[in-house]
Amino acid sequence: MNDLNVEKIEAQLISIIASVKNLTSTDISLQPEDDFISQYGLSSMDAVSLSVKISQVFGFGFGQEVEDIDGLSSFGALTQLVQKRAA
Amino acid sequence: MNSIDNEQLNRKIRKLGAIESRMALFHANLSGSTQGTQIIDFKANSLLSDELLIKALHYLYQKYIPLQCSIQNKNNELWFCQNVDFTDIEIKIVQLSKGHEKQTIISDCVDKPLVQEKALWKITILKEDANENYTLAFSAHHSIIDANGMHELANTFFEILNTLLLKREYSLENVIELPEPIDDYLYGNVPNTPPTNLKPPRQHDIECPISHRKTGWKNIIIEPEMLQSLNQGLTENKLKLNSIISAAFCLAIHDNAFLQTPFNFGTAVSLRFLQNNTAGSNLGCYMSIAENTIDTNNQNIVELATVYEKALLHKMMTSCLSPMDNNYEEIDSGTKKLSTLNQFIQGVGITNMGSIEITSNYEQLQIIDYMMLANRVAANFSIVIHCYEYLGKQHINLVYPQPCLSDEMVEKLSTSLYLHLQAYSKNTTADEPLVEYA
Repeated sequence: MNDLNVEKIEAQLISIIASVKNLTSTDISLQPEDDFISQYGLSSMDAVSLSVKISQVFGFGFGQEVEDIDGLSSFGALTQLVQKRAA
Repeated sequence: MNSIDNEQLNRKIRKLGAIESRMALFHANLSGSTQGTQIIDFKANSLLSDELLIKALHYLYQKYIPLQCSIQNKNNELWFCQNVDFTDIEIKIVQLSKGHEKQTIISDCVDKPLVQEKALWKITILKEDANENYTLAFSAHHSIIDANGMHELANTFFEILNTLLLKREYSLENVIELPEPIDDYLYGNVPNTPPTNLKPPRQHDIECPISHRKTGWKNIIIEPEMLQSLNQGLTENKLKLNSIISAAFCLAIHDNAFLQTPFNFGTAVSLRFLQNNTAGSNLGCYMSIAENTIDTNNQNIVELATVYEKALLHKMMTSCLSPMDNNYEEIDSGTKKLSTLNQFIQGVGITNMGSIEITSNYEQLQIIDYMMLANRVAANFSIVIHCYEYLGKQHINLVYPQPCLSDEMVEKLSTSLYLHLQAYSKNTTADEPLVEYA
């Protein structure tokens, strides 16, 4: 996972968010400051489903630490968290 | 639980998974505890004959294999067996003559346990005098059905009934099998063990053996106007309705010194999203409990809701995704011990069913109201709130073991809970003068 850069992480996260909401990646448009949970209406269940997929794709247990939940506050925060934990 | 003979075992489908076994032993050892009952008031365009209602129920039975199952014990292993005849299902059709009868009959549906070795569901249909108003009380064992499954069965039943009223036959092309246990999908490695620490009774606890308890309930209804105001605040605070209701409930507990802070707060979590997408049904028990500790000291409703929401998500992503212990002897002895206690263990809980997806308008039928209850006589939770929205109204139903918890205390808790929500919806704090609770 060392070859992960921000662009790659963002692209993969968009693909994951799209699959959780049964959308295609082209339906998702996000900037770092965006609150993607509200913007795409993710329920608690969707957030857990998202955590499962993030864990599978990036190879670390997203949500294992309480602080991980802060990563759901914005798209940028999630990207940074994945970059840090998957390194 | 009784053991089964070989003939019955030949019709076994599969062993019960961990959460299913837990529900079965709670049910068997704790007087039907966790048995769910949905109560649906509906109106028909014409009088419904008993024959027609039974025909509709027979179709329902034929469509769902789980409704043809019982639970059998073979050498301390619990098995689902497909061995229930339609004639074994308890079906009551009652002509109501007095208003007060309805409450008594519903109470009986909630608290009279299904004999799980014989059938896992029962139906009572109440007919009101001289008009086409009816009430369906559908009770089911939690091992085969959670809230999602309840709603699916209600929808299917009304679809069948509507079809028959249109003088058509109902197609049984797609028969629904018993789903796999949720255990097959759980992969986490964080222990998911319910709390077992018993605390001494409080001053307001009333001791009562389980055999003399009943399930009590008090329903709070949030009308659409207030719900809209609540949702506006939730959008601003980036919170979910479930979180603010939970926070209001915790503050109500604090206001009334109901529990000493911090206290255990269990949240029922649906794990339906883990189910194989091809299953084609919402039946099965796809749930877990997220246990959190809540500290109400020096926190306002928004702070409390934010902390709750974060802690809940964390538990959902960790312990809820981990397999539960499925040790028969341990759960059996634990639930039997619980049945000997005369007061409750003090935790509280919430189950959030979201928006009830039951079609309200059919050509020949109209659904008027909905209520979901669960048998709570075990008193492992001192009180549980059931939250659901139907036809634009939010219901918060406080369900509790009577008389372990007094109706007076429930009244205080419900009033306080409502006032906190009202204050939040008005963007005020509960310290300011509030409109009297109606």
